[in-house]
Amino acid sequence: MPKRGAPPLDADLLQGTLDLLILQSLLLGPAHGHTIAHVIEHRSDEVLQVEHGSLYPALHRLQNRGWISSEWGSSENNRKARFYRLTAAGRKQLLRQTGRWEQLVAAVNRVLRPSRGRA
Amino acid sequence: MIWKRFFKRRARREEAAAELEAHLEREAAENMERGMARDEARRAAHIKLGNTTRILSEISEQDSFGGLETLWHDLRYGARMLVKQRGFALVSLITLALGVGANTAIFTVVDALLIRPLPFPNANRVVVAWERRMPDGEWQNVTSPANFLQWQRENTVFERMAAIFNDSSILSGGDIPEQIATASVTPDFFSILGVNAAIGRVFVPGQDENATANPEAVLGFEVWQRHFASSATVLGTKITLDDKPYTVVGVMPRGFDFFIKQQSFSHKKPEIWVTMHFSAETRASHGRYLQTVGLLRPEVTPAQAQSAMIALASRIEAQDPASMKNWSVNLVPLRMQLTGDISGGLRLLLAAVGLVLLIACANVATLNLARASARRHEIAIRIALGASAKRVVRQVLTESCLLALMGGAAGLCLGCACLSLLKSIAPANLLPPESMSLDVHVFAFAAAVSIACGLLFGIIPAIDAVRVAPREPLQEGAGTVSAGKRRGFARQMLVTAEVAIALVLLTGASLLIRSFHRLTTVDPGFDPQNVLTAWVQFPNARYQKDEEKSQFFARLLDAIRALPGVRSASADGFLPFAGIIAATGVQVEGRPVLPISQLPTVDVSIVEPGFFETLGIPIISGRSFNRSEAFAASGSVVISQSMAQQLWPNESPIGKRVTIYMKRENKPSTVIGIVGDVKHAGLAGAVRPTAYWSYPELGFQFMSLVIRTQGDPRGLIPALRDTVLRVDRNQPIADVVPMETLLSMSVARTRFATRVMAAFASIAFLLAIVGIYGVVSYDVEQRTREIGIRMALGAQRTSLIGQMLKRGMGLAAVGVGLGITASLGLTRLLTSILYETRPNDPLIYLLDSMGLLAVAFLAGYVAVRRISSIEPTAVLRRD
Repeated sequence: MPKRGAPPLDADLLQGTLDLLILQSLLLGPAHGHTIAHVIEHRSDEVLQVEHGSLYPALHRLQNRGWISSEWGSSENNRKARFYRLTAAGRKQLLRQTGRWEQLVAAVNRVLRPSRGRA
Repeated sequence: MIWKRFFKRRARREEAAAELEAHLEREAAENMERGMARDEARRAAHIKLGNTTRILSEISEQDSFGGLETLWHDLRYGARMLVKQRGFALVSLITLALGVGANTAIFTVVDALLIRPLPFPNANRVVVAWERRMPDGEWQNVTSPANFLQWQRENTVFERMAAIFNDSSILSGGDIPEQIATASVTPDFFSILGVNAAIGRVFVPGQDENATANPEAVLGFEVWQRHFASSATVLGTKITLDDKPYTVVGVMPRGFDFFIKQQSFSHKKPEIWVTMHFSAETRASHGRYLQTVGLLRPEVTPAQAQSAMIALASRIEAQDPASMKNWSVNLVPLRMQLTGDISGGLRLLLAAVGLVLLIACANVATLNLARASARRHEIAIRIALGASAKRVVRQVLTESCLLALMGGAAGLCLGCACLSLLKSIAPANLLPPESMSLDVHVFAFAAAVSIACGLLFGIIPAIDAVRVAPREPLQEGAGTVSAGKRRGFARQMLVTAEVAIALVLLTGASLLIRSFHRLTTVDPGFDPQNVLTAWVQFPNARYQKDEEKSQFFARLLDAIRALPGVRSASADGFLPFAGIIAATGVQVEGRPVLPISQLPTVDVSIVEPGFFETLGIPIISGRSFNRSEAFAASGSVVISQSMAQQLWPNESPIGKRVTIYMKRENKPSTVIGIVGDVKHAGLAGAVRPTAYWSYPELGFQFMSLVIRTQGDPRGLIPALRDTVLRVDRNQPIADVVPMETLLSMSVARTRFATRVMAAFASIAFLLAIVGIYGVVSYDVEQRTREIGIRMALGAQRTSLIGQMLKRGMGLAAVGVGLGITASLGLTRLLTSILYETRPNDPLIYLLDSMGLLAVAFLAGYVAVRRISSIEPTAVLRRD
């Protein structure tokens, strides 16, 4: 069976997180999909494994929202590749989302710590 | 924005595919750097990326209007599924089309005739007032001027009353004189109906009926177009009807039409209305020939009016027992009067078509149920492969809708076809003349019912599949016995009901067919083959003297007899099947003298010499009229066999004298011959005692020619018209029709109802058979595995076939049993319209049941024949 019973909140959270990570990785400069995936994995010390299958739909989504733009170019070894670049709107979005993420982490921590203390 | 992406979605998809390919290349290259072999590297990259098709479809979903795109996909998939299951789709389509189409067509007719309001504003307050002959005579008898005027003066329940006399007149003034149907009406007639003229005015109510100085005419729309070139200047001009001038005061709107058939002198719808005037002499007349209508006062109900009028009639009877003894009154609401004779038949058809719709629904349900389990398997696979539940339900729903819409469209086409077919086989004057189009509301209703049925049963497998884990139906394989047992029961119920309903329709139709057959094989008492008839009527102003009229007919008949191809020719006052004949009391000489109202009554007609010989009516004894009797009244009478038996049961009537009260001064006539009985009132009607005088005795203004020809009587028509104009160039003839046509027209409505009913029964029969076939063949399919195992264990094919067939036949037998029970109850409703056929005729029940069972058996056999091609090894290997 597919995971039809999965609560929607998780899905949103995961999707939002992937978006955040993509935007963050593009802060350094234009990159193609493959690089983005590896950057995320590398930076998180291989803790976050990006599901490559969901990376591309996410890239398209971000582009449709106008947060990133793309163009075809040649990569390091002269292969054709599609490069993504952060737009001004994307930059603003990244700041906003980073702020929200930090709030979220702090909130979760506040919830988790007292319960651990009591145990 | 999304529009742009939508239209570029193909390019964008290719771009995305290229991007993914680039990604794979890169990943594979990295893998190879880590030391993998090329193939392995590529494979690992694929695994890591996941299903590219799915990624691409996820991407392109973003570029499309999700709903629309999905709908398109579902439609395409649905169409593919339907093509794959051609049989199912075709049968469903036919079922829907028949159920929806036939229903809509027949209901459109019923609506036009029975339900739609009559086109007269006052229709609900108009009643027709008849005289009624007590105790058990005619219920709807025309009345006399004297009686009508007394009703009009003394009643307390009507605002107004009017008298109507449908006639036929010669409209002259054009190139060729035309015989045209007219109606004389008293001035209140139009205001009672509440209708007005389209141009000019109708007759002014309350106009002095004695103002004969200036008779007026109102034209019907069509005659106005045909004869007066739709000219408005016709108002105020004079037209000539039967050589008398009338001033045209108005033209009625298109489609205005008022004609009460019962006891009408003319059998055609009037096209011109003229004012009726009673002379001092007619005002006192007790000759009955008027139809009357009345407009009820607003506060008076028909029942109150009825009892008030009966009281009035009793007073009139007491005042004048000589003319009014045993005569009372009978009020009939206008709608009942105008549709009474057909409403029974139409209700029957409506009920029948409703049953057809029921069967159609049952069939659609059965078909979908039968498919449900096959669907369950397919859907389980799709869910296992990752389709979301919502998506699956939606897809199945789309497919059902597709089928339903196609069925609806087919139904619409069939409905239109049925309607034009109904129009073409309907007898003249049954359906309203204005273009009758398919009733949209009815179509919507019938379509909604059957489509809802299809949807309801169509999505069962989808809902089912969503509820249970996909593993289950997959493991079940295609042939577990327990699968769908619950639904199996529902299916069997539906099929049983279908067979039962089909049998009800079948027996109903068989009874009607048998009755119709009996009717058409009735001997009318004469030979209708190769006889041409035509109506001749003199204008009142010409041929005033009896001798002139007799001589005209003698000359005309001689000229006709001289035509090539004519074997004999004569004329009759009242043709058989034309609907009317004069009737009066007779007094046999030498028996106790009674008042006229208590005498035995006989029909009376007048004939020219050679009449009985021309029509082939046998002369049983004595003689018929000779040539000299065509010119002068001789006081001779020829009587029918039944009149002879009724008045002279134990003696020979030849030479006896009898007084027929038909003239102003009545003298006894001498019986000179006895002829065979004629079914004058129609094939289903009773034979009435009839007296025939020679023409000069009454010298009517009209006669019907009867001409026996050597070949097809239609060939004579041009020569006949020429001959009449040669004898008198101002004299038209009308209603030139072969006798056989009159005969067939007299049973036209019965034939129509019988045909339609037979069509319904065939449809029902067909649907029921399809239902049985569906259930049995599905049963076989379900049990393929079980059958395979049994065969592997040594069971005989023939015994397996027998077993499967038995199950199907069991259902059919139960259905037939139920059907017989229901038919016994329901066909009793047919009693009144059956002719010499008992509604519980055991032979018909036996034949119909056997027929249905036999065909059910055949359908079942065709379905189980598949067993013989089942290979046990193949079946067992399948799972």
